[in-house]
Amino acid sequence: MSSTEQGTSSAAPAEPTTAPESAAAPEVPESFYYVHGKDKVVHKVSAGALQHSALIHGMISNLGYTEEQAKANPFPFENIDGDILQMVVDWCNQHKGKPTPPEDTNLPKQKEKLFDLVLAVNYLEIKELLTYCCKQVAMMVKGKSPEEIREIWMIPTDAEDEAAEKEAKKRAGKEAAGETAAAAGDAK
Amino acid sequence: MAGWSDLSVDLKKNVVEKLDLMGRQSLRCTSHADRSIVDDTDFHISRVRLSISKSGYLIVVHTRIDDWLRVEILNRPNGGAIINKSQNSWNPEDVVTKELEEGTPEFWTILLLHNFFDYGTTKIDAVEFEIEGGTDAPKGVIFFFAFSDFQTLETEHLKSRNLKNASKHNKSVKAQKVRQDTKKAPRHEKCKEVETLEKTITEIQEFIKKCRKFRKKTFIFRAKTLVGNWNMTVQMDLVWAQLMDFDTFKSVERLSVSIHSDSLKPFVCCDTVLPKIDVVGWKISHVTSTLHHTYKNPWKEGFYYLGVVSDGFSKLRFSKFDEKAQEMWDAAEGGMRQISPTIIEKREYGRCMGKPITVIHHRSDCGYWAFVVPYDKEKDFKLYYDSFMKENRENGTCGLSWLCKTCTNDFDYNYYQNLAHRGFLEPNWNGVLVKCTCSSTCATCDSVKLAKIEYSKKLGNLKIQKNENQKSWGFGKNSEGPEEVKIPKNVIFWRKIGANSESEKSADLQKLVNSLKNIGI
Repeated sequence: MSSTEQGTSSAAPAEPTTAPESAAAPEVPESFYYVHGKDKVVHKVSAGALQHSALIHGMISNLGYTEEQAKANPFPFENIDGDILQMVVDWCNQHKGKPTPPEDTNLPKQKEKLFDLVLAVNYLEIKELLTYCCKQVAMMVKGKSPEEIREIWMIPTDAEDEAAEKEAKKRAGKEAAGETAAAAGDAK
Repeated sequence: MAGWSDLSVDLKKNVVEKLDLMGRQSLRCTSHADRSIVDDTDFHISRVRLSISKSGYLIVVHTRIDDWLRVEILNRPNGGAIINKSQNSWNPEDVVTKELEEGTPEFWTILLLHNFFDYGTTKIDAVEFEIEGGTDAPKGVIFFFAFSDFQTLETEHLKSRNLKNASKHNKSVKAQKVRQDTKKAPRHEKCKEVETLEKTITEIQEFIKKCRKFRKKTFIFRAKTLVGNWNMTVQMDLVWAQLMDFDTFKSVERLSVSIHSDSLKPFVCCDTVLPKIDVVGWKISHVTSTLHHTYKNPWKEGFYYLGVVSDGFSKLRFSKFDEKAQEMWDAAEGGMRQISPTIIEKREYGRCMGKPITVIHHRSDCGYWAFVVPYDKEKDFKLYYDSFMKENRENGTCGLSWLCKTCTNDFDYNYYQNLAHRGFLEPNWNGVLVKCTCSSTCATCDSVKLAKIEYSKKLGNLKIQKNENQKSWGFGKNSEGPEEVKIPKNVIFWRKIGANSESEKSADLQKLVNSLKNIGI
């Protein structure tokens, strides 16, 4: 399990409460890195666990941080919610150095979180987890009719899409007209 | 909070790749954007079956061993169509029925075919066509099966191993008899046969014409193999081939399944192979396969006979290296030689029906198969043989094709092993089964007939769902491992008709009988 702690800023992360421990202590001390999401909570993750993410792995190999530097500069993922990042970190720790199983039953079932997770995992380039997540998304609509799929995935119909587009155009037109009127007023 | 619309096109495609056929169809209907995403995502279908009969149409789509969709589109008495749909179940009680007042069964079939398969991204392994009519093959079968003394002829000729000496056996009395009997067929019957054949071809042509012109779109299956059944001719294959994409189309296979109470799994398969036939300028391999579920049929005689009379050569494949296979392998007299790390070969020369032939026996860890090659077809055979040996050296594949569990894909192995079940599971659509040539008291036929009655009864009891109660489409049931075929209760007749002694029954049949005893039948 990864450890987490509320941090105040990305520049000065607080000390994590516990460190992840592997069952057998490795001969060479394992290096750790720090990541935080939108909520600024810092997660301490081992380099082994982070290897799942092609994005972070690439960053690590390019930066060549020391333990202190890594602690002082956690990787910021401002576009990922804290709880979603926690899920990703947990998954990476769980599957550290292990072959990935064909199914993962621990993925969230709520559609809102699942879509956020898909986006996060895609951003972090975790291929195996992305496959599981997409499978889970596909399972949500297994055996469902088009109407049911529309409801579950909140897909707008073509008519709704068109109406929304018209509305947006109308609004943009009004705004543009307002802006020209204001500009003309200013000029006077 | 993110939703489906927040995903990028690539991510959406990643999800669509994991959807099943009906999931894709449903998603296509949600919006134009999603439709184009679905149409751009690759989809693999193992097998599609299209059956046409007087009562209507049947489309079966197998995506995996345990995932299939079955749609029956039948004639409605007062116009319109009745659609019976089931998923992953052969039980008529699981069928969802819907009545459509408008459109003909043909229209709905073509519409479904377009919606299911008409995209460049949908790749199919095999498309199977079945149509009522065609050639009157049972007569041919009767004619062939009538020569039970054919074996004498074969052994007699194979005694002469040397081709030079074999000319003495040129004139075989029995071979002459075979030729005479073919000529004896009454003239009016021949005319009737030709009429039926022409009528069937016209029907196929019209159907294809409508398919291709439906909504002014050209429809094609992107499939590797076209599969027909025993009542088809090469001419019909050529007509069906108009629906195939020639970039993917590689072979034609014609299937006949000869069922018997001895076993529900095939014992031996007899093929006629035409390595390359010309289909509208394309060279396509053509194989006609007959699956025997008993050793009581003259399979061995058929093997030699077909090798001599066909335009190519014949091949015999044993599904297991059992006593019969061992017997045949031991009887082959040619010297053994190792032709590849996995295959041992024996070659013997002889004559059959006056024609010089070479019999090639192959044995590997997978099993045993053999070829009969007429002398004048040796050039064609060599091309086939060289490409087979090349594949063997590269991939280690044997010559048993879909009869080998190791060298073929799981779907094909499972599909062909369970073909005989169709007689009981889909009694209204079992065109692939060769009509039995038995006497009127044949229990195998009785069993199939009773299965048909039972099936129709169950279908008749179904309540037609109104639109508002319609179950959603899609593979709703979760897959639970490989296909386990459930045999309907009518199969209790297998017990009555079963082999004379317990030892004669196959392990499969024995298991079935035991399970039926356990549930008190």
